[in-house]
Amino acid sequence: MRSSLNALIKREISVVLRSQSEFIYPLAFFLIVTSLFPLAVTPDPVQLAFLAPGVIWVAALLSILMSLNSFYQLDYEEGGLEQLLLAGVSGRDIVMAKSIANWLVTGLPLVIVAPLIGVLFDINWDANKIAMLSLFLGTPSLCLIGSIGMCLTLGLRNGGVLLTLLVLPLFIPVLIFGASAVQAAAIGTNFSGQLAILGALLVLSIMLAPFAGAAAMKIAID
Amino acid sequence: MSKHAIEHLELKNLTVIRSDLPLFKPVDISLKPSQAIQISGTNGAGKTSLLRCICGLSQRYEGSINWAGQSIENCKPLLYQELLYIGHSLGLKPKLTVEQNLSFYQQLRSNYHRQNIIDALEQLEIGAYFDEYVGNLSAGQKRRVALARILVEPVNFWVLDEPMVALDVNGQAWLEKACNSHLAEGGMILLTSHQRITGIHGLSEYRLQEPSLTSELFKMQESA
Repeated sequence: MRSSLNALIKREISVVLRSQSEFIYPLAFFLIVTSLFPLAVTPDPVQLAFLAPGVIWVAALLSILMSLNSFYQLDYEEGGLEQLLLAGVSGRDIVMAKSIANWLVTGLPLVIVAPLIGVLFDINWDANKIAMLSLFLGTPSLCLIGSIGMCLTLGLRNGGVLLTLLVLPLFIPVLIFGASAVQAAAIGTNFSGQLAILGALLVLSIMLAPFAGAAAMKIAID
Repeated sequence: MSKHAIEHLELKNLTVIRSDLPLFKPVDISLKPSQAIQISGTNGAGKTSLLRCICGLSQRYEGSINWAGQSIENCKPLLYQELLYIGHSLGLKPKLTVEQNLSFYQQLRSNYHRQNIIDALEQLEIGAYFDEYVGNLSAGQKRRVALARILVEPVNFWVLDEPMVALDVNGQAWLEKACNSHLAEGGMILLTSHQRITGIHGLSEYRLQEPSLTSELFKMQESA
């Protein structure tokens, strides 16, 4: 069973890497949005450092939201999902594999470029490290939670809007604790509590999202 | 293939439900090794829905579907070891090559055999497209790639939904030949088609009938 999970992750990644626009888009979106803020709001370093945690986290959240569609919608329309189920792959494994692939292709690049944006916003190195760490803990949860919404909206004509409505409320806790961890690090207070909660949210979504996603997928395919 | 001798499909009093009404008159079908059945019917008669229920993809049915004597709801892993379903959506990734698509499905079931895939594609006269992206192929060629799976994945029970669509005369002849040798090895085939298929030995036809709505309504009234 583990080998099928590996094969599935590999396939998901090679499909997305083949269509460059789909994996560059979320990353480009993240870079553009975050780098426009200093231009539009203020060049003042003090105010920018104050804005940075929120801006980085909001942009990361939206780019993950953008990336979800390419992992599910086409696979559903082309009959790939049902073939996977018929080959004996469980719905949980499908959701897990897609979330892992989604994170490797979208989440991980965000974690890697985040320090660049941190420098742009003139936040100190400690806060920059915590920004990376909080994204590292938070973005996988976003991918997993997003997969539930994606499975629920499979096959709907205007699924995108509904997806946003369904998923955003569930994204909020991750956003709040992610941004507040960076903020706490920037002003030099204790941030371990926020990171612990991000970790707890990650464990929770690893445990529950595959089940919820698989159940939703079953309904969508029926 | 004698170990599959006990495996058989049995549909009892089965009909597909759409908007609380049956799509066709309940059917009783039994499919045993070395048998092939063609489901026919008008457009919208419920052929595809019936096949999807048999594959366990849809729960919108009444009656029972048994595989090897058990309801399919209880023995899906067992069924999926032996089932290959090729439907209208072929399940091929246009952004992967022919070989990548086939080897992926092969790996899910058993181990990767490159030569096996090459041979299958040669048989289907698309050997030259081994490394071509599926998105660049014509509809008929895509159908051939999907059908190559019946050679690449050795399973016992084929469920083919309109397999002849988009195939040329050679392709159809090949498919009939492949079905015949599958039956000779003790395989089972369930297929739908609008055209008459003459090349498969012992293929029996089952026509889906429209439900007599009045009697159904009467029954519902009685039970209410």
